[in-house]
Order: sequence, then structure tokens, then C-alpha cells
Amino acid sequence: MQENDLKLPFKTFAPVDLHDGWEIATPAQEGIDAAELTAVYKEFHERGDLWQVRSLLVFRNNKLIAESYTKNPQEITQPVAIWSCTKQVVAILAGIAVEQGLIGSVSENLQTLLPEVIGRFPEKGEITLQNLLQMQSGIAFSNEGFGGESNQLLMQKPANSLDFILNLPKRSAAGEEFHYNDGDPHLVSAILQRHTGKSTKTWAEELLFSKLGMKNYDWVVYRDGITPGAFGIMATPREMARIGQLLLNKGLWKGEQIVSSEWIEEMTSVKITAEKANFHEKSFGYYWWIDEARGIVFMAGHGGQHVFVKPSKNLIIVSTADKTEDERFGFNLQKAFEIVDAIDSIVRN
Amino acid sequence: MKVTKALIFCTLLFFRYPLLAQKKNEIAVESRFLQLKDALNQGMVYGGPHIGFRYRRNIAFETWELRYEPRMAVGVLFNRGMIAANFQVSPIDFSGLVPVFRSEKAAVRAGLHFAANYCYQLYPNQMGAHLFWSSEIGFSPCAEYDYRWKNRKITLFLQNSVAGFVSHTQEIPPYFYSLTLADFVVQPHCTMQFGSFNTYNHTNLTVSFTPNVSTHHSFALGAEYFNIYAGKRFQSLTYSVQWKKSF
Repeated sequence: MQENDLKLPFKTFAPVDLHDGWEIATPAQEGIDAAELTAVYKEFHERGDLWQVRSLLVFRNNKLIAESYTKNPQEITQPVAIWSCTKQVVAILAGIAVEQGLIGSVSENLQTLLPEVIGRFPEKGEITLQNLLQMQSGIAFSNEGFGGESNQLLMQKPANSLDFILNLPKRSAAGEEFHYNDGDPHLVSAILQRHTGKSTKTWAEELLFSKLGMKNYDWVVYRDGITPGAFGIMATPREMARIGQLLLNKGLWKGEQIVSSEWIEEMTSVKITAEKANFHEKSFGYYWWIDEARGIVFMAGHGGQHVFVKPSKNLIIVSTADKTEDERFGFNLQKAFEIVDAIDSIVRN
Repeated sequence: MKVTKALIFCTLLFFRYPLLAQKKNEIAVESRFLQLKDALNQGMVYGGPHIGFRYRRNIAFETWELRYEPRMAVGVLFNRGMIAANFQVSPIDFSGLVPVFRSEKAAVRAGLHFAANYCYQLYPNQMGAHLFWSSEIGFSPCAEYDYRWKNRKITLFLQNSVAGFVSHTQEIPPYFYSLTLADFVVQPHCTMQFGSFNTYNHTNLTVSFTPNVSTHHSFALGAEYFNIYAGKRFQSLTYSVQWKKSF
């Protein structure tokens, strides 16, 4: 039985103008070697071990330079699951909520932030918003395996997602240990809903997505009405890039300060060192990953969904891939950085 | 009393053929190699070994023959080092055959085959716990050719689907999903569609060899091809070596 070609042959990276707000430029106009970029894209399409990849987009100086889809060109407008890149969006939303005074500060704890719920779980009351944004709640929520809590949420087994998370035992005191998990961002989303009076999905549409001009996206909602904070956004690569561009513009979008530059700075500064984060030698801010050596901050989602932002070169690289459950077989961060490094090396300062 | 007598008469009439029929049982163990190609999974081809079991209840009447042959198989599939699990079950499998030709050495029978086949995959390395399935409830004409010589027998069995209901996974939910025991039963049935050659094809060819008819042992080589064209295309190709014992 003959296997299908898993990727389309490379034709061009020239973007199509969809009149979606993205200005288009050629590589040469923005200081990128076109021949070298062609070689990178050819490799992206042809490398056998990158059978999972779906798209690669390059943006510089607020402009879309290159774009190619390896499996389905329709994905230019068809949203796909961006998995944990949802977390980085939630971090931005948390900043907007704090700046609007809906939440006092990141130091407020669950006693204040979720008073109706926390009465049933008093031992979790001291967990602060900052703990949650830094994956330091200490709650023993596991992302791993079929029986893990993350999978329980994906299967929508618990009727009440908040009770389910807060009822879990503690593995450490709040603020003591970095433990990457999907429970903490879900609590942040619940806090946003409690203090905005709207679902996180609706509030994000009003305060963030519509202002960024995002159209090709969606955000699934848990059966108890809470918008998941750890995963759940569907978006096209072009829409994902808008989040990266907002970061690059220090919260400013077409003249409007959507989120303060101070929050962007705070959110992307190292809170958890690479040694403690124990993830491909990357540091961690408020849900944003940081590669200190490369000077890159990035969004990272399950199975190879990435938005890399390099402020020093005004550069954004977006890549998406078919998810795999085992990182060994997927478009993992190591493979993604090989592509990023190859592009970075041909971008003139 | 009249009613009782009538019931006894009807019962005897109804079961006349089974009472007169020759009944035979057969069990078979199969070593299979299965290849599976699913357009929903980018057209990737997973392949791997399986073990299968089948039971056959053969009821031969004066002129025709009825077979009930449930079967199941389980195994693993591989692609690029990733593993998948596959489970197949056919709880309903009936064949009715009538003689078309008979001589001293050879016999040809033909008839109708009706089966319900279910095939399930899980791709833990690639798709997590998402359930993939393909199912068929359909009719096929079938034919069997026997040739005997020196107490040996060779049998060729061929069937090919003509019409039925089929179902196959058409999408992978982006986030929320379900995997319960009920899904194994409900999903393959609630999305079924009726069709014929434009919708699916299921071909089964088996060549059996009985080295000594009196010993009740036989061996078979089988090839089975299943192809659903409707929606996302699904194909499976199975080669099998079978050992059978009749009693």
C-alpha cells in the first residue's frame, strides 16, 4: 500500500494579499536574503523528519514577508488548534484586567479573586494570581497521560472544572515550585470571568481580538461555561502572528495601547530560570517562554505550534504542525529552533 | 389440547431441517499482517502483525449450507517508530451457499454473505486517545470451489461486497473529545451511510488446503481488502495464514 506524500512540494513563499490588515513586503525590502530564505522553505517542505509541519510564516517590521503551507493551502484562512499558545494570550488578558482595575494586582490571592469558590477549598486560598501566571500554584495537576487531569478536562469529564482543579492535592506550597500544567491557566481564565462579568472568550473578543483585527479564530468553551485558559483557541497562523506583533509593538496596535508596555515587559521577563523550568533550556515569564541566549520570546503549543518573537531584529516567525502526543515524533522545539536559527541567520540587523 | 398439538407440529416442521442437517464446527487461529491507510491521518500507512481467532458453525442441509462465522483480531501497527493499536471484530457473519456444480472431484457453491464488521484504531503516539473506526454492515455474493484428490482437498473462497452501510471517522475534534465504551458501539452506527460500489468495496479471498480430510486439520492463506470511498478514504489490506481444526 502506497503512502501519500505527507507534504506538498515547495512552490513559493510569496504571500497572498487577503486584505486582512497585514502589509506584504518582499524579503529584499526588509533585509532578508531571498535566495537563502528559499533554501530554508525548500528544506521545510522536503525534510523527511519534518513530516508533521503545516505552515511557516515570516514577518518583519510589521510586514508579512513569507508564507507557505505544506499540507493544505486552505489553512491560510482555516483556524487550527493552537493548544498551549492559548496560555500566552491569557497572560496578556490578565495584564489588561489588572490595568483596567478589574483585578487589584497580581499579588491578590484566590480568597479575594474567587471568594465564592475558595470557601470549599480554604487550603488553596493563599495562591496568588502571580503564582498562577508562573505555574507555581503548587496544585498537583498533571498534564501527562490518559489519566492525567488535563485529559480529564479534554474529555470534559468533571462537571465543574474549578472544583475539579481546586480539589486536587497540593504537591508544594504556593510559589515554591515551578510545575507546568493546564490547571493554573484555567484558574486564571475563571478569575477573568469572575471579575469581568463575561466569559473570557467574549471579553477577549472585545478587548483584544477585535482590536487586533482577528477574524479567523475561535475559542472553545468548557461545558460549565468557563473558557479554558490552557488551551482552546483555534486560529490561523496569520492571526497567531498578531499576538506576536502586539508583543513586538510593546502593546501598541494601530495607535491604541491595548496592553501596557510595562505589562509586556513584566510578562516576558524571566520569572523562572531555565534551570528550574527544565524545558529545552528555556526560561519562563508569565506563560511566555524566553530563550535568553537567542534573545527570543515565544509562544509554544502542543505538537509544534509556535510564535517566535525576536525584538532585536523586529522579526516574527510562526510555525504550525500536526500534533503528536510524543515529542520524539513531533515538530519539537529543537527542530523548530533549527528553522528559526536558519531564518535568523539570513536577516540583516 | 388441539393448540398444543398444533404447536408441536409447527415446531417439528420448523426445526425439520436443522434436525436433519449435518452440523460441523471449526475453529481457526490466524497470523495476520495488516496495512491500514487513512486519509484522515494524512494518508499515512500503518502496518503490523495481528493475531486473529474465528469460529465457524457449519450447518449443511440436503441442498444448501448455512455458516455462521464470528471472528476477531487484535494487533499493533507501526509507522515511523510510532505505534497504534488495532482491533477488529465481526460478531455477525452469515453465509448461505447452494451447489452450482458437483462432480466426483470438484464442487462449486455460490450464495450470499451478510456480515457486520467493525475495526477500531487508537494512535497513542500520534493522536492520543482519539478513537478511529471503520464499520460495515453489508451483503456480498460469495462463491466456493472445492477440489479433492487422494484424500486431500483444496478450497477457494471468494466474496465481494455489493451493497451495505459503512461508516468511518470523518474528523478529529480539535480539543474536546470522548472515549467511552459506548463510543465503540454508538459512533460506528450513528454515521453510517448506505452505498454500493460507489461507496465501498470489501473483497475477501481465501485458499484452504486440507492435507488429509480425515484428520480435520487444514491451513489457509487469506487476503482481504476493505476500502471506503465515501468521505475521508479508508483502506485496509490484510494477509493471513490460518490454521483450522474442525470437529
